[in-house]
Amino acid sequence: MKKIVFLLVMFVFSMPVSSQVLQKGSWDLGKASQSSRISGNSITDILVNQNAVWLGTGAGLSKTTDDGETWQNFGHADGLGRGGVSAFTLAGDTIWVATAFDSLTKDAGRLPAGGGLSWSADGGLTWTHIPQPGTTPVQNVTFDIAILHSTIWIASYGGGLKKSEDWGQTWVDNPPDSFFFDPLAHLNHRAFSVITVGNSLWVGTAAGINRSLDGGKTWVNFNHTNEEHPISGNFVVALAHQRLGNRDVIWAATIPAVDSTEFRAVSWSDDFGYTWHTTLKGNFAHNFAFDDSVVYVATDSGLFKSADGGQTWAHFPPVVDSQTGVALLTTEFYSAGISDGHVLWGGSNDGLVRTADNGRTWKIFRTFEPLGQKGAGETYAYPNPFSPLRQNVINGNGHVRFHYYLPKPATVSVRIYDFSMDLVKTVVSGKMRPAAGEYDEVWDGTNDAGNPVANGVYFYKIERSGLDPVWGKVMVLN
Amino acid sequence: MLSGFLFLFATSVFAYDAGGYAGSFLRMGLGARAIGMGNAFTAVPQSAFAGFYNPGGLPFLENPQVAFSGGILSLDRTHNYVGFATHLHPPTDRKSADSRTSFDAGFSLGWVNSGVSNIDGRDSNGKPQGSFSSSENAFLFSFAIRPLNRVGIGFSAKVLYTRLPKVKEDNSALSTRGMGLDFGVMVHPVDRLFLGAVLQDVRSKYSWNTEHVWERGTTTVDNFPKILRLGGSYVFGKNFLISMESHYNFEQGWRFYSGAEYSYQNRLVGRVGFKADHLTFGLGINLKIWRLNSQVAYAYDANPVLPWGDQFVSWMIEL
Repeated sequence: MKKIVFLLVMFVFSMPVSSQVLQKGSWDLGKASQSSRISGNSITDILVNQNAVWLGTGAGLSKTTDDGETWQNFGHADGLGRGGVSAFTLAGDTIWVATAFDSLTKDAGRLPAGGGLSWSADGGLTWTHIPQPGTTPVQNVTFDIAILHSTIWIASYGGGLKKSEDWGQTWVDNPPDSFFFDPLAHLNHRAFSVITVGNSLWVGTAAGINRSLDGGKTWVNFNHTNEEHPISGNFVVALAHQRLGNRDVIWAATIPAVDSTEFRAVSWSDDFGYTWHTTLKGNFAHNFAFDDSVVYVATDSGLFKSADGGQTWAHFPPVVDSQTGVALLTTEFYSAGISDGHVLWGGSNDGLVRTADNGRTWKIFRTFEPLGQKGAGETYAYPNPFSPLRQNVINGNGHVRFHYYLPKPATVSVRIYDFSMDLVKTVVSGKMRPAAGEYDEVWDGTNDAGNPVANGVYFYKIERSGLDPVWGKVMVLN
Repeated sequence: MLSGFLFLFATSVFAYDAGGYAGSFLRMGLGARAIGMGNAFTAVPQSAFAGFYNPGGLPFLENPQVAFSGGILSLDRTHNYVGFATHLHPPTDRKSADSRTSFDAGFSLGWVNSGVSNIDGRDSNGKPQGSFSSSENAFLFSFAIRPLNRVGIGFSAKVLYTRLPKVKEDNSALSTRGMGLDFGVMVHPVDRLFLGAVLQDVRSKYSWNTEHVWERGTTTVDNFPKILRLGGSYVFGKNFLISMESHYNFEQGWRFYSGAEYSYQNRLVGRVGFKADHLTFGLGINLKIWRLNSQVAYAYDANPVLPWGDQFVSWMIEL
């Protein structure tokens, strides 16, 4: 999903053409796979529908109805498009999901591509897949989906704003202005967010926010320069609607598009876009969640909460699982959601977090490839190759996990060596692991002197009391 | 006396700072003879490995040599060498060793290749992403002169090349090149005694460009730590060589190495060494193949960290 975030930043690049075609198909699952783990650790979106919490992840869609004890996971094999979930929306039992994947092109290397759309009208039991609407899936990732009455609206980078009135069989370009659709010529045709509020349609593009009160026929554009109290930036990454008493508040996460006076911030309006208030200046926000009057914002620098309509904000500190003591290895949050009982869910690029007591205690949900089964090996490092500059960065250092299996309780030591078997770092020494199971130990890519290690291959040794040591390798590459 | 040194060296090990610097494959030693002697080879003359250990020793070579060496290493590591070294005596000075002049010289060529295979690629969810490998190489050209009869000075220029197959976004290899220099001096003050000093990896470095690996790739430079090696070797009688040296790694501090070699009837050779914090052992057998003197050597590096010790096999041939 980092690709998608990157794409948001780099939207001004031109779009190459590719001729990949995805096939339409149908799948009848009967029952999606049950798991104790979520689909993927990068959580791009969280939506709550009654007692169900849904996640869009970099490896598929996940759903829980028991507060995260068990998960139903939906992936490509179940009928979703190729890649990770770039957007999804819920309406009762109807689910629409867009996916995205990395596509290797001849001229421009690796580029994100839309994996198409999939919908289910029965809560995920059966799915119908639709190829990515538009002339090419490359650089045509769908970032948001909205349903207005029976019309499906999608906001895509290369594909712009499109609508379908026949459940995705045909799509019509509906740019949010009076020009013919041309995303190369018009920044306002590069769409990133779309929501519905009552009968109104709101679309965030690379040229501001557009509002239509007549189903997309006519539009009003609000941008950084055309109002007395404008939005903070023209590149509108996310839009959200908060119903507050009789008021409809529109929240927008913005970053600069082309003008140097634009800036990263959150803008909100409660008068249908005519006046915007700016808050959380300097933060790259990705998504919003609302608990009545309380606002939560997922940003690059963590989760924020405001109980006074955005006048003041509380910043949640780095998350540590209260039961296991394991820390979330990021401050970067892409999504947030609220379920019954004022339970806050946060989606980061290192897993899902949940708190039912306003951040006093947390539970972290992550996925991994299980060990301890025949042929699964005894340890692996992930991600591998590992870039300390880029992956799981917290407090300035990236982190890699050494995953291993313990068939019985043991004290554990983990040490890292270089090619010549010089000790690089003692990661843990004599740590008690009181139960059989799977564990992670974390290395921050530095040596015992605190210096970042050079690029290259390193060897880690996991010593377990009463058991033979196991070795693994990790390639450091910045 | 040796046990006293070993104790001193062993206690010094604990002051050695952490690893994690570029070029560690050039710091583990090279060749079964040197490894068998605990990597204490800075002041040992008469070797096809002189370009690697001390280019200042090249003019002291009696005969040209070629050498092959391979490592049988745990953890899917490889470490190999092929090299050639020779003296360069002017024709007028061939009559006797005493007539050597400042025109005496020597040069060598060598290639150190190492690598790691079966690196388990994984994404951030732990899902397998295929297997990776690495290949690290140093191509050495060494030259030395003998300005005084008992002094040789020289340098080794290194071309460094690392290749990481299947790492780039199009599944091709990421590679990086670098250059580096070693400077060495070998002094032969009295018969049987050699003293050596080497400044290793002056300006040796890799420059990495990962723009085709990561979406926002960068250029990073990894400098090799400079190492100052100081050593001495002495031959007792005709058959017993001992060698001791200390290494000052400018990033990691001091380390001590020592080794001994005993030759039985000029046929079988036994070696033992102390390599910083553990023992090494070696055997050699002198063979005449196609009228050429050669030695096949084996070394066992009993590094207790490893699942099993590293083993090396070398074949050194005098031309």
